[in-house]
Amino acid sequence: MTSLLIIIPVDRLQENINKKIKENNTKLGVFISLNKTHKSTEESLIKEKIDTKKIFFIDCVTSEKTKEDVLHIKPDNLDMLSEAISEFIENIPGEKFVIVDALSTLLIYNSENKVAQFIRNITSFASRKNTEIIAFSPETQGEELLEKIYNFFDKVERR
Amino acid sequence: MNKNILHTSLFCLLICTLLLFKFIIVSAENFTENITNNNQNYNIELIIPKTYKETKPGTDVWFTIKILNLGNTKRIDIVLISELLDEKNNIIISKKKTVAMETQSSFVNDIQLPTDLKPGKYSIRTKIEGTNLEAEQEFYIQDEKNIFITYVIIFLILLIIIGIFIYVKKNIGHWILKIKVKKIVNDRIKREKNKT
Repeated sequence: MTSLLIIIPVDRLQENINKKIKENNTKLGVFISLNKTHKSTEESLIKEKIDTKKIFFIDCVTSEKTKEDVLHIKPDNLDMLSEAISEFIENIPGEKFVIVDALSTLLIYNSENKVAQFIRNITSFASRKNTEIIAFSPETQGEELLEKIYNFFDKVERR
Repeated sequence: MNKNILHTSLFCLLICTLLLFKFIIVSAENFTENITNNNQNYNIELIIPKTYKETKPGTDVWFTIKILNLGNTKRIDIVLISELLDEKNNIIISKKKTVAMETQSSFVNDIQLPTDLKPGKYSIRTKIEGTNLEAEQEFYIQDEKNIFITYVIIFLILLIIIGIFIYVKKNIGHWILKIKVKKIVNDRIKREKNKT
């Protein structure tokens, strides 16, 4: 299992997220939505005929509960977010993957060091639990952060 | 988060301190128990305030003597004998005081307790000299070590309560999150199984 950081222009972000989820369509996944609401993310995925029943959503944009099976966590509460990801990884049976959309959004609410610590926590936990982590980040944002966190990922791709 | 914990613990400490003060103030209220002895037209009462019901060696115990003489209309002098007695009714201290009274009088008196008194039950008895009239009231000498131990225990209990409170407050969010995630995953898996 690998952890992968994909740095990509904003206009191609959704397209690449869809592609990655399709590649993992046999597994259950966790989608951490940091820059879109759960509703709009789910709609985008459904448009691409992706089975969203295989995906557990953590919505960090809205705090209003719309669905019972969606977890809402504030983006400044990285401890809680990290713990929620770990719990999903622990509880989901079989092979699984985690998608983070998009890492640099965390910088609006947290310091670079805190975000780097958060990335370190989730990548090391996922690695121990044989879970694939795919994190996306728009090309133009948070370059300094990206430099700090490169080493936590097994692979970094610029597209 | 840390600030929240600090504020919560300070608030908790404040509440506990207030409760402790309330307890002390209520205990110190001058709640009285009277012993009355009637003899013809006389009536004598001895009142030890609640503050002195449990005291330490070396302190002054203040008490009130109330005398009612319904048969007398003139001012007369009487001699009051106040005694400190131990549990076996041995007289430890005796004091005499002459007072003037008419139909009804109230006097405040005190006895200084010796510093070497052992913890236990004691009483103060007041008699009117030349009569068989007397009134008696009990009080307790506390062991100072016990008082200290009691305060230490109260303090430790408060610390434990505050500790538990801080621990629960710090972790309750994580416990709820764990339960929620488990429920979300289990419900989804069950739903999918039922469909297939």
